[in-house]
Amino acid sequence: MSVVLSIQQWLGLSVSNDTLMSRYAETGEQALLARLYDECGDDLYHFLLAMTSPDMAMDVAQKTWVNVIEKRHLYVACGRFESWLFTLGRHALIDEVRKQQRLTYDDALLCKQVAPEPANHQQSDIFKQALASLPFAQREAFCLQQEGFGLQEIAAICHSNRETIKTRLRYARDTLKSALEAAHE
Amino acid sequence: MNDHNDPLAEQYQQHKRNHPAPDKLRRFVLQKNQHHGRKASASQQFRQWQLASAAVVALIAFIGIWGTSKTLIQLPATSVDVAMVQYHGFDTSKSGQPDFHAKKVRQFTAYQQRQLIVMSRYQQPATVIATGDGLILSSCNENIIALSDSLVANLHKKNSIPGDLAPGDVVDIAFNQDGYILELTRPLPALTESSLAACAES
Repeated sequence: MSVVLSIQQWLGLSVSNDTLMSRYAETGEQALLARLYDECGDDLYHFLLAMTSPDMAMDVAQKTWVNVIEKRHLYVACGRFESWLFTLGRHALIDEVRKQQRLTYDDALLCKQVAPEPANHQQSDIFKQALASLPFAQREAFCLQQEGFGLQEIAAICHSNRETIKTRLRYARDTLKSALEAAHE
Repeated sequence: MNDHNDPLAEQYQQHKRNHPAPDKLRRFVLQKNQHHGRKASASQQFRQWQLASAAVVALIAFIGIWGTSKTLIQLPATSVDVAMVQYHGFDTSKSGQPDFHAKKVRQFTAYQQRQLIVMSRYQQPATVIATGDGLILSSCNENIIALSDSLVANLHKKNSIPGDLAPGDVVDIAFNQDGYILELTRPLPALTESSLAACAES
């Protein structure tokens, strides 16, 4: 790891993921990637897990991180590293979904209710079931918001406009609230 | 929206804590990076070798070109000789005339005939020893050549002999292929600088 980063760490100064990624893009250093993974690995994996089955989430997460490794020279530090990572993750997910023909990724289907994966049925987690029952587009918008992305960032990651994302979020939250309330009753 | 008062956010974070990424994913990622790093390093090394080789080749080429140009520069300046050139050719402005080619053919035929005559005769220098009824000459190889008075008269008739020959004069005797005397002429005067100058002036 570079001396500057080591000193910053030793002084207790926080180093942003963007800085870490910029350094990693230059050097390809293992320790920097490990730190990035520790910061964002769980978030990405959970987002993918919320969007698909555990097996596919694992596959897509692997592909996403391989893309980070192989396309690190394409990283431009003009936005948050997390935005870039989740954009790569979403692209990999869509590719995988199309490849496996589990879902034709078009707007019509995005608005439909998606039947939860069989694996999700086995889980007792009510929240997960409620989340899994959301349409793909609403679910991804909600999950990205929970991962800390703003409306504009979500719109950029999902290649949609801001107003569409707002609508999807409203529907998603309403549906989830209703589902949780119904479960409590 | 990701605040603590939001039950959905709490549920989401709780769910995330319960489902962390598998450890094997982390191992896979770091292993992949290590492998990619080795591959990139090998390719980078190969690229460096390529660059070094290209630099050496470029240097050799530069030295070669530089050396050649230096040699060319060091060559002595080529001296240019100025010579008078006599140009022989046809006047193309007249080539369009209808009798142009016929005239040229006639000239060439005449030239060929003259050439035949020249080739069929040979000359021999000789000195006049005595004149009188006939003519006695001495050739350069000290052979005595006597011309009968009838031959001399015949040559006079054809204007083929100088009229005022005297002992001691030098003449050129022209023989045909059969050895018969065709003509006696005074030899052309030797070319001197003054004669050349006079020729140039004329």
